[in-house]
Amino acid sequence: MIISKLGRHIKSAFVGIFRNFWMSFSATTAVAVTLLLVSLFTVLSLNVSSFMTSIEQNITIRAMVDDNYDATQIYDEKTKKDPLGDKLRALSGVQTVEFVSKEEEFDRYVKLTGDNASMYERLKDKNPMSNIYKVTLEDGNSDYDAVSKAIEGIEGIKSANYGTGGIHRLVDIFNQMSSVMLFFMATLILLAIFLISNTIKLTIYNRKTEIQIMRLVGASNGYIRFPFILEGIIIGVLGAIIPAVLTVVVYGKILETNENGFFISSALQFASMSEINMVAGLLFAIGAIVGMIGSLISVSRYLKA
Amino acid sequence: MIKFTNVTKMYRKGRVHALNNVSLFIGKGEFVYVIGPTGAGKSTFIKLLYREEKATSGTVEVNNIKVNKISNRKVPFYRRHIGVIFQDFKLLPKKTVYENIAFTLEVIGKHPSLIRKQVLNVLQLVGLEDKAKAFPHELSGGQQQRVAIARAIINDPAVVIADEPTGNLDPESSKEIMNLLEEISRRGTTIVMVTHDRQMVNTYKHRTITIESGYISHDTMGGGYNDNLQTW
Ligand SMILES: Nc1ncnc2c1ncn2[C@@H]1O[C@H](COP(=O)(O)OP(=O)(O)O)[C@@H](O)[C@H]1O
Ligand SMILES: [Mg+2]
Repeated sequence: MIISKLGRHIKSAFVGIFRNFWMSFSATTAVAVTLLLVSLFTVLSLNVSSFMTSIEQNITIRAMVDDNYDATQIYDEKTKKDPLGDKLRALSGVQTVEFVSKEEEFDRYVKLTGDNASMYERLKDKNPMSNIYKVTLEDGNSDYDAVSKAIEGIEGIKSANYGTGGIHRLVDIFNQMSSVMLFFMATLILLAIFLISNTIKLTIYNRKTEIQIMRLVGASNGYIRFPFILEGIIIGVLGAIIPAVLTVVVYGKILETNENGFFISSALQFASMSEINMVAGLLFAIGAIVGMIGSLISVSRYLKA
Repeated sequence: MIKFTNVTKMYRKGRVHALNNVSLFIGKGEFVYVIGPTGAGKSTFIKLLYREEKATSGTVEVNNIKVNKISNRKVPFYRRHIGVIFQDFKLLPKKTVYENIAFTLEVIGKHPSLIRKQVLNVLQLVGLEDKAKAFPHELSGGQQQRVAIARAIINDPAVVIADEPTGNLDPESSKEIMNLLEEISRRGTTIVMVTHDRQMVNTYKHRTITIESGYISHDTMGGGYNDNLQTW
């Protein structure tokens, strides 16, 4: 009986939505645009924080060996002697040090840029790479800057960097953008609430006689208000469908495409699909809440007891 | 039982005095007419009874409930014990006769199995059992008003109040409505009926309260219109 009643209320909510089609449509669109922005923002910030975590966990400092440096001082495959490496190991905060020859570096580079055979042939004899040491830090140490400086101070090291410049810039850009985005989101949420409350106002107006009669025969305020609140929630939830589907589908594609480090090094951990599914759920919840607030405004203003 | 004690009702922050210091008593089961010129305050009197309006001062009591003390939230529960009838019937055009009456019970959460029996009973009482599936626009004015009466009495209210229930009806239909209201009255229900219909007041004799400019000017037992006092 409760179920059939709810079914009737849902049906009548849809009747209300279609009766004011353009109002409902613009309200739903406003919710959809708002939620797209919410989704973009949430997905970006999830990834930024995920990147930050993986940076802290996986960053290696790449210390380039001076090309003119005494070759006997660097790692020797046969004798396993490694005077320069030992100096690096002696630095405080260093966990591991691994030698990578310039030939290995070259191979890695060629692979990364797409196995271009002609380039390979062209550059093979004048390998532009340097020998490097890959240095990782002890757990909990994230002062890459200080360690890099110390490494650069050692004779025989040309330069040391930890290759996150790009990521850090990304984070900076994101942080700068986020206040603008938050402002837009707040504005759009207000607009969506306003449009929903106007739609509900029209529905209330269309059903004035019915409301008046319900009042007369003793329907409680809750009973009278429920269908309008339901209608607001339905508009909000309808508005969440497209953003939620887009979020899941588009993000899935991005993850798939990036499997081999297409956009950003695969060392960086993307926010997982299950997190994104939760974002989609969040969009529905926000849609429902925005719809509910919008209708509550009209209901409390125009359905005064 | 209806009791007004020094009731004043003002609209628009005191600029309109609709009722001035009105006191009266109507006993259980009485049938009372309320008459008077347009704008005298008759509808206001009715609205105070079903708590559509709140008295500015004084107390309105119905069945020992102080009506102006009822909080907005509790008004719906109070209304379930009051039947109200209007000149314009106030039926839902897209619902059948049956649905219009059942609606009253649905909104107060009655179980569907009880609703059916009760609606059919009351339809029989107002003589419209064969019109259950009709829509309001398929009925005459008198029949529509009988549906409204059925809706008003389905919860067996202690008081039925009617604001010009025959105002839109031809004399024949008016008579049917009066007969019906009198029958309801005989079952012990208090009836307060606002009317303009002099013929009716003189034919079906009941206590008659005259309101003029917000004051009770006459209150006569079964007296009907007093032609010497007619100013409208
Ligand atoms: N909601 C209202 N706001 C302001 N004035 C009102 C309102 N309702 C009624 N009035 C005024 O109160 C007086 C009494 O009205 P009413 O009770 O409707 O009279 P009646 O039903 O006897 O014609 C009239 O002057 C009318 O204009
Ligand atoms: Mg009136």
